[in-house]
Amino acid sequence: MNKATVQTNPQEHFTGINASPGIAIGPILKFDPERIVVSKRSIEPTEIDREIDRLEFALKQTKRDLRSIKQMIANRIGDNYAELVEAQLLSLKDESVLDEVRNRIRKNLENAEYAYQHVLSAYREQLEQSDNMYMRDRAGDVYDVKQRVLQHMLTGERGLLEELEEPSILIAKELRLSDLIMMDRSKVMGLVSATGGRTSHVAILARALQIPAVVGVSDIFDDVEDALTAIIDGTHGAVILYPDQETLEHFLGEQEHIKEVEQSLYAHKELPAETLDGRRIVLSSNIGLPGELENVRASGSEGIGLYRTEYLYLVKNTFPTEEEQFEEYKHIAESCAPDPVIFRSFDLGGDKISASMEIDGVQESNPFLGYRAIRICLDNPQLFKTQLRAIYRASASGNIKLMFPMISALEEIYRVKEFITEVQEELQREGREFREDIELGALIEIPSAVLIADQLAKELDFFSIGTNDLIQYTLAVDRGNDRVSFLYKTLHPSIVRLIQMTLQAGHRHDIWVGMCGEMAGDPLAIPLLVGLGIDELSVSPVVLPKIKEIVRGLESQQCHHLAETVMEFTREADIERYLKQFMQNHFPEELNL
Amino acid sequence: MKHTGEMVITNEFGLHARPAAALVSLANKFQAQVFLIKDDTKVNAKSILGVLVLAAESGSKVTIEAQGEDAEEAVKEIIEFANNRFGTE
Repeated sequence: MNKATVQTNPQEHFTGINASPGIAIGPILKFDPERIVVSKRSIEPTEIDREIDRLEFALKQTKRDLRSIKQMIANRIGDNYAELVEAQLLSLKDESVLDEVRNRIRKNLENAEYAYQHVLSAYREQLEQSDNMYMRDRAGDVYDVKQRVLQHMLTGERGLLEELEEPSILIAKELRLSDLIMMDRSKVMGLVSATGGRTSHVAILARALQIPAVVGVSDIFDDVEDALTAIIDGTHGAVILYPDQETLEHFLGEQEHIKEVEQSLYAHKELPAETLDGRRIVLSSNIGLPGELENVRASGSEGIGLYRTEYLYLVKNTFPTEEEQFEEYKHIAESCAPDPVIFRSFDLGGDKISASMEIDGVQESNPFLGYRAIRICLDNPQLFKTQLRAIYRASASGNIKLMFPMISALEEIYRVKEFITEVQEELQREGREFREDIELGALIEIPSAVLIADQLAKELDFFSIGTNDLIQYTLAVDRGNDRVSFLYKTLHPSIVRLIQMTLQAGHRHDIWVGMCGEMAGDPLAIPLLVGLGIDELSVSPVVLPKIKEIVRGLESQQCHHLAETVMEFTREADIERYLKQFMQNHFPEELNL
Repeated sequence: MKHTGEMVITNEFGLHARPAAALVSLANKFQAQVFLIKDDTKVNAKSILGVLVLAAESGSKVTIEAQGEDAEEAVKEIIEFANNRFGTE
């Protein structure tokens, strides 16, 4: 039990984006790197040496910090990501910049922190004004380095992050990648950030490190009080400050319950995912960072059903080179072999930063119907071919499959195949090892792809259904828009039909059909999906054991009947009620969460 | 002795993080003072932040100005390095 105590402040409830699942209860640590205040002070000539010493000391401490961050990133996330820190180390060691600072101290008789702040801020401003996104990103590096050095100058040995003496819930306006990595995982119970979305650095890393997190909680920061208790529910995107006794007990019970269920489920991880009558379903994981491999192994997953290659881009903030990609893909493939890994080609755009913004500065009015995913790849041959080369080169090291997001027409598959032929010819000429015949698939997430699934199936080896986009494109609903989000219905009869059509078209042409969207991790949908004939379910490693337990409790004939009944219903509410009833009749309550 | 020369940046994304870092580490090998000039901006080639502030995009022309004993070599090697995309792509 942690030191949760009842507060006198009235309970406050906030909602945000559920970035990383789980419940955390603990004392609040308000994380505010901005609270460093630098003031100008005139020094005496006799103080010059002391000020220069203070500067050098802070630089040395910062260098030590950055080196240990770099090591930690390499260990927890992957070697490729450590390079981020290299850019900061370079800015830190820039002698000509430091000479400017020393000069200001000597000639202008300014205190060290003011001189340093002044010089670095000038560089930062210049970089921020650049038209080039890469240069603008470097402004962030300069800021990071500056804050760290000032922290050391002003607080001596102790940095803000070392304040994490007891396990806490961090509440911040904004969390940077380096902040997050620097923290001792055992001291961070949960994360709340006023900014950010599901694909922000914080969200991606929190999921990889399995820290409950809620992001995009606007207005939470200013009034938060340090040390008082907070509850965060990362599964549902809720944050409760200063909970009353009743709320506290409810969540403590909930937390305990989740732990028990997880323990009992993880105990079965070696058992196969098959129904009572022996029908095998492939159960695999959705991940996007090498650091998540550990979670994949622990969950009892059969390989990776969705590897989000764009995370390498999102975390690094720059397009990775062929070698960087090759190393990462090879490492992932080798770690999972002989189980398969399905790499999804860069899925940028939509909610994952506006790709057109990043690439050519165009602001789209409707990014979800715009320049994203395969469209960006086909439009940027260099970018796409670099990725294809890296994936094919890695294919020699494991069981790799490749799938393409946002396929809306057969022509796109033809064009993708032309690129693949080109890349294979290049690799052959260079005498590089690769497998020619890796399985190719399409992510089925646009209704047009379902309607031509029979045509697509002739050209491909598998389909993987992406439900989130399929639902939003079919029902024309933005789930993030409060005024229409009630129309977003996972079990809408049209969605069930589209899933059935995809499965039937795939099976008629002897290709396998899986699902990697959110629905695959929803216990309620599993009997229906099994009944419709799904071959593979790819889910977050956190929910995988629960999904396996459900599959192991099903009987395929019974699921088939259930699916037939569901196809007769005309209203989503009836489908949902029917599936809930089925779950209640067949499974203990803890699997219905 | 003052020497000058001109290089064209051919790296896809310009003189950004990696190429910039490679250029700075090369410049630091010389005794000579080395400056880069583009449009009206003149920066120290031995300073990573200076080089970044130059914001030299792909296709831009940058003048190299070096002063000191090994100035001639510095200019020559930097131009060669630029032609090889600073060894990064």
